[in-house]
Amino acid sequence: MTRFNRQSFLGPDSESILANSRIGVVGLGGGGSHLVQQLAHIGIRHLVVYDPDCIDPEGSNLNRTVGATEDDVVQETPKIEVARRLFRGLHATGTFVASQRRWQDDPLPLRTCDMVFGCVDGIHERHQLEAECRRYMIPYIDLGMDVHSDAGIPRICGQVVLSMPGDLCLHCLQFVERLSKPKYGDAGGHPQVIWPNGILASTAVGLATELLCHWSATVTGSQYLVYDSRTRTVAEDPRMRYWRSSTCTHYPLAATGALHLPF
Amino acid sequence: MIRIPAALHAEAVHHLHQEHPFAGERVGFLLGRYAELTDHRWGILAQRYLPVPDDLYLPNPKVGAALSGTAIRMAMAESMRTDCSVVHVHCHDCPGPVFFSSTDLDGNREVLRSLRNANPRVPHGALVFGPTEAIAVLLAPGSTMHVPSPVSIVGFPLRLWGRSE
Repeated sequence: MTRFNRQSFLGPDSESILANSRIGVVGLGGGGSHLVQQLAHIGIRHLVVYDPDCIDPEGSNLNRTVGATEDDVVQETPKIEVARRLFRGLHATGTFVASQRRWQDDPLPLRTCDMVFGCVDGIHERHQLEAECRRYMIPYIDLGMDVHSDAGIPRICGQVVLSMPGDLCLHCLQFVERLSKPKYGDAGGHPQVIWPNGILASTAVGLATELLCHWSATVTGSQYLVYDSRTRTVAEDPRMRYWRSSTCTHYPLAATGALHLPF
Repeated sequence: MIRIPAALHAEAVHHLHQEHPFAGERVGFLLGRYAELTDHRWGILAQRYLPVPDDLYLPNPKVGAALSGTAIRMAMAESMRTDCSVVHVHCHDCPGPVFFSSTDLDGNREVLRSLRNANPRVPHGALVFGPTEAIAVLLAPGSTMHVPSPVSIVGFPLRLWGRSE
């Protein structure tokens, strides 16, 4: 009996597939901390994580950063150390490569990943991260949430987007354009709460597990899943049925690999 | 690390499974761009497939496939012309784990040496596809060692081969 017996429905080789996969997580805040926890639990043993930040000394991270404690507030613990503690609590061995820098300043470990999760803020960060993943043929899963005002009532929205090399990208899915709209995030105070982060992180991990283990054979292309607090659902963006027949022209195969030799 | 888009993998395997008039196996080359990874590790991102034409095989009943010098020079010329990495590929269709045969190992030395001579600045490799696995080696610039390399088929599902804990 192993700790993964209860997830054997993922396939006979799922345990070794997950154990031998190398996963990147960029951003260890509300979404990324959930991801690290869940990835460690399902048996991912090789993680590459990035976050330059520390736990806020005023404690504003504690409402959503999984694994962070009041001691971390006092010590202003780097978020990568909170994540390391989570991971090592479940895997004494395995590799945990952590960078307390922006990934742009330390890109090499990211290129070794089989899949990357982006839990970053803003259009430009997402665009850069996706572009890097496309350049190195790495599936990229973007997640994020925000709160906007809908007739004066807060409405939480979020997304999980799978950008698959060779398939639709964030531009094809008009996700970049959506982030540009003035209404996005207009509830003020950069609102963040734990439960939608958890919903989105769980959805993202489920998508990743499907991609790796193909246990349900229902994911066959890029995905755009949206969360809406009003309906309390996560569902495929209805425009996907129009986009699925399209071909991505933003990231041609010829534009992969190093731009120049390092020497 | 060698990453191959799923569609390109399907194209290569389809060609490699075509019958040849006299050779027991077919051979081709994956051409791609190099990628610098950590700790002086290199990767190859496959972008296109270069099949070996039928008339560039040599009759040799002792091996699955014997290539003429022209076939190797064809791959060398591509690497020089487009500054690409080259991966020599063929298939073994036996069930179970995939491995390089002794003939493959001898052939890898010759082919990788030729590719290195053509373009020493980029990594080159050799790979065998099996039904459910693949095995590969990479020759990095400046190195003399053929290093085992994981292989990823990037598609649905994402297939990660040649790894172990």
